[in-house]
Amino acid sequence: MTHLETYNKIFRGMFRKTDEELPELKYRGIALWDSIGHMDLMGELEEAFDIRIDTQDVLDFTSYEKGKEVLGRYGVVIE
Amino acid sequence: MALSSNDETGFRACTGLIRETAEAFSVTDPVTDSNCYLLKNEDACVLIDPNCFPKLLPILQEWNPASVLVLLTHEHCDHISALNALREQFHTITVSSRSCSLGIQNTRLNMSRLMETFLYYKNGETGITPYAPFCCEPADLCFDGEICLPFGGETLEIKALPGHTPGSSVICLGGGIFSGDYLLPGEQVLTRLPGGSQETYEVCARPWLRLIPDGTWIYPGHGREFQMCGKVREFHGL
Repeated sequence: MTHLETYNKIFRGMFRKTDEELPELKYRGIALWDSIGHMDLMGELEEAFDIRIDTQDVLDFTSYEKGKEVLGRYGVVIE
Repeated sequence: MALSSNDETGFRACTGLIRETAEAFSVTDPVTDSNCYLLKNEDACVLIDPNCFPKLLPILQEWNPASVLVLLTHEHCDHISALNALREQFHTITVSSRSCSLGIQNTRLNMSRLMETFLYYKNGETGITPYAPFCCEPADLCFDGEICLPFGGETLEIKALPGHTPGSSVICLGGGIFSGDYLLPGEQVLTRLPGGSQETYEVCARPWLRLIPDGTWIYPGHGREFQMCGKVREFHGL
């Protein structure tokens, strides 16, 4: 499974969206992606990619697209 | 040291039925607002959810217990943050549900890994409060379902009530209930944190909480103690 496939799978599972809907997803843009959902998402991503995301980066992770950039800082290239 | 009255050092005497059973104090962690309860009955000393070691230390030094029985209502870091220091400096026996014991060993399940983020949101997104991830060694005594332990001339009954977390429990003593993160004043139970489950809460926890008689003193994991009543039932959907 590629990083993109893993990334998308986590988003689909957590927020019950299709692949086509993912690029529009933003933090607090849907009910499930609230602060609690955000922490759960970060936990899932950390586990899946075996990384530890700094708190500042957790807060900088404001959308599906921005998240790719954030994960890139940890060597996780999603393309 | 005036241990029997409220003071700015952060511990205060508990009110309610529990005072007829034991000397009882609570300590509130200034960072997370969690409560630790300290109970003393004859020579027995119990700590429920050890949270802020610098605040617990003076009272423990005064009591000078031969051993401290540590009970955990659940695995979250704000309820176990003093456990490692306690174990280093006192003879302790830690008791928890089996799931709680597993949770305290894991920085994701005990939430310490993301506590800075949690506090950031909880505090109105005004700044990052440093909070170092940590984990603990397993409990010394684990139980499934429920367990009864002697405490002076009384009995502590601990019952696993998963939902908020897999390891959540309530602790009953002398007509009072230490409810952990259930029945928090003004806050609905959270079941979406790591390991939490609304389905499990509905099956395991809510039916038990519903049976708590009116007038029972509740000692929550955050906020002040109170008595069960219709308003509380209505707020928590019990």
